[in-house]
Amino acid sequence: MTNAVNVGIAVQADWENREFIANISLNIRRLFDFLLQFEATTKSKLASLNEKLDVLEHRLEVLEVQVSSVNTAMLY
Amino acid sequence: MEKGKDSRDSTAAISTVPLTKTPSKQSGEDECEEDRFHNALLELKDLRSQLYHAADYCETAFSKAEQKKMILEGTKSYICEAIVAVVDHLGNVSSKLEQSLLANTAVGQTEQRIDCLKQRLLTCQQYAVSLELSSMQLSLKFPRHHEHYVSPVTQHIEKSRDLSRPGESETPPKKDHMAAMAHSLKSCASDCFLPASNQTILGVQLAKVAPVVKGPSVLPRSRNPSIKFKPEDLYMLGGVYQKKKPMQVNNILSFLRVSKRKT
Repeated sequence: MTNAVNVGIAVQADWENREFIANISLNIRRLFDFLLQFEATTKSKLASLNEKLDVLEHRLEVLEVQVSSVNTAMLY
Repeated sequence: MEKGKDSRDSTAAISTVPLTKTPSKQSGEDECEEDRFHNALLELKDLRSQLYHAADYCETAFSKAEQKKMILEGTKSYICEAIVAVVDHLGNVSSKLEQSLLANTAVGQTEQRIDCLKQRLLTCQQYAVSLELSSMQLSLKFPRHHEHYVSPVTQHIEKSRDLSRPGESETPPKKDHMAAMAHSLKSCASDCFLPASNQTILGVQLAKVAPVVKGPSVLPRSRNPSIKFKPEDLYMLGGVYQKKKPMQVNNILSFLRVSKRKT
C-alpha cells in the first residue's frame, strides 16, 4: 500500500518535472523564434532600403544626364 | 558519507555558479555608445558559455549524487534565473543598439542625403516637364493663309460665328438671317465677279480662288426693302466706278428721289 503511494507520488513528481521542462523549452523556443524573426525582418528591411537608395541614385544620374544634354542642345 | 558530502558540495556549487543578472557597468562616461553596445554583445556571448558550463556541471552532479531531488530543485531554480538573465541581457543589448543608432550621426546624415536626393529628383522632374511643355508649345504651327486667298463668304461666316460664340445663344431667326445673307452674297458674287464658275485658266480652277473685293460692303439691307440692287450699282462695286462717274451721279440722284417720295 505504501509502495503504491510512493509510486504515485513519484509519478506525480515526474509529471511535474516534465511539465516544467516543457514550459521552459516552449518559452525558450518562442524567444528564439522571435529573435530569428526580428533578424529576418531587419535584414529584409535593410536590403529593401539599400535597393531603394540604389534605384534613387540611378534615377538621379539619368535625370542629371538628360538635363545636361537638354541644356547643351538649348545652347546650340 | 562521501556521497552525501559530494551531493552537498554539488548543490552548493550550483548555487554559487556566477550569473550576471544585470549587465556590468564597467564602461565609463566617456565611452561612446558603440563601444557599450559591443560590450553588451560580448557579455551575452560570455553568458552563453557560462550556461553551457553550468548545464554540464548539473548533469554530472545529478548522475553522481544520491539525493537527486535537491540537485533537481537547484537546477530548476538555476534554469529560471538563467532565462531571466538572458532576457535581461537581450534587453540591454537592444537598448544599447538603439542608443548607438540615435547617437550615431551617420543615420541622420543618411536621412538628410535621402531627403536631398528626393528634392533633386523633384526639381529635375519639374524642369523636364517645363521643357517638354515649352517644346510642345513651339511645335504647334497654325496654318496662315494670305488674306487675298481667303474666300469672302467664309470670312463673313467665320466672323459672324466668332461674334455668336461668346453668348452661345443661337436663335433660329439669327440662323435664318445668316443663311439669307450668305445666299445673297453668293448670288451677287455669281452675278458680278468673273471667276464665279468652275472655269480653268491655264489649269487653275478659279472657283476655289475668289478675289476679295475691297470697297463698299455688298450686304443687302433687309430693313429697307424699297432700295434694291441695280445692275448699274454692281458695276460700281466691281471696282470700275471711276470710269462710270456719270452713271454713279444718276444713281445717287435717283436714290434721293425715291427717298423724297417716301417721305
